[in-house]
Amino acid sequence: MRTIQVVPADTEACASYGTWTRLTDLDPFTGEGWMCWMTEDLCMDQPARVALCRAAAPRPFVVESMKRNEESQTLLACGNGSMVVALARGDVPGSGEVEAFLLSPGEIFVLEPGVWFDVGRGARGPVYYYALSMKQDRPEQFRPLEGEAVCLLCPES
Amino acid sequence: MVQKAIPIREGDFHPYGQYYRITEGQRAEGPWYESFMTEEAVVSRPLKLGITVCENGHTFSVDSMERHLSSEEIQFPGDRPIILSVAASDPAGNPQAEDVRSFLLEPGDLVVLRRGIWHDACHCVGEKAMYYFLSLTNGAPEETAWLPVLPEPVMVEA
Repeated sequence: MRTIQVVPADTEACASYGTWTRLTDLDPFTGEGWMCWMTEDLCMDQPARVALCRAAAPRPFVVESMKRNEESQTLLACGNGSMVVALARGDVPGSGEVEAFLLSPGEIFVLEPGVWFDVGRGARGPVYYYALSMKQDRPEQFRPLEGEAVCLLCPES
Repeated sequence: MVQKAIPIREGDFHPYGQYYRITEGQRAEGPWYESFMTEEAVVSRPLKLGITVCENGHTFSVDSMERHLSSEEIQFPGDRPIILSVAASDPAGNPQAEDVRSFLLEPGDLVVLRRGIWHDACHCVGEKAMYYFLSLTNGAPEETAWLPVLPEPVMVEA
């Protein structure tokens, strides 16, 4: 089994899959008892359905298959905790192509159409998270990784 | 007088916009997860996305509200439940205390406020909370207004 390290998401590391933004790096707006941050531009290039995923934190983190959305971007945002996201590029999800990122509350990650991804997992324990994407005419299907499975070593495990 | 927030799952949100209970949407499951998705796009166009972190006590005052004339606004909890206060008062006037209603949103609840609906920044339920919002205003000077609630603020209990 191939083993890789989960790395914190950042602009450079995520660039080949889409756009990562730490919202709290932007200039905030404030009021009495609240502070907010907003993207400077549209967060996605299409309207979206909203999904909530309740994910456990199974050990070890093993990726055996992936799916993709070929028709729209997918925006990932944490709910109640940090999550691990495994991604790959290519016509098929290849074991050697898999990379994994740690996404934390306050950050959003917009995946470009065609990026392979596995369902997120809680980094420290069970979490829920949100995914915004558009309905597909052809529902996404999981495809087994080409090659061996991939074990993710998470820095917060 | 103190108003008690109504769980949105038990309340009537129609006067203010659309309510989605995401966990009643399309369901999927796998070895370590369970997911739910709204059956449709919650708005018909792409929007900007933001987060708000709020911190307040168990009881708070709604003394002013905001409304947008050019944009609907999506709101849903991030890490904890939130309380959203709204009013369907005339968008051309001030929000009226008698129109203010407060709803408790749990994770899995999502609302789309109609254009012109008065709303306060959400409050948390006794501790710090983060929530998401999406909107897209056209930037016109009269588009967004923050005005006092008349004739007096409304007290809300989480």
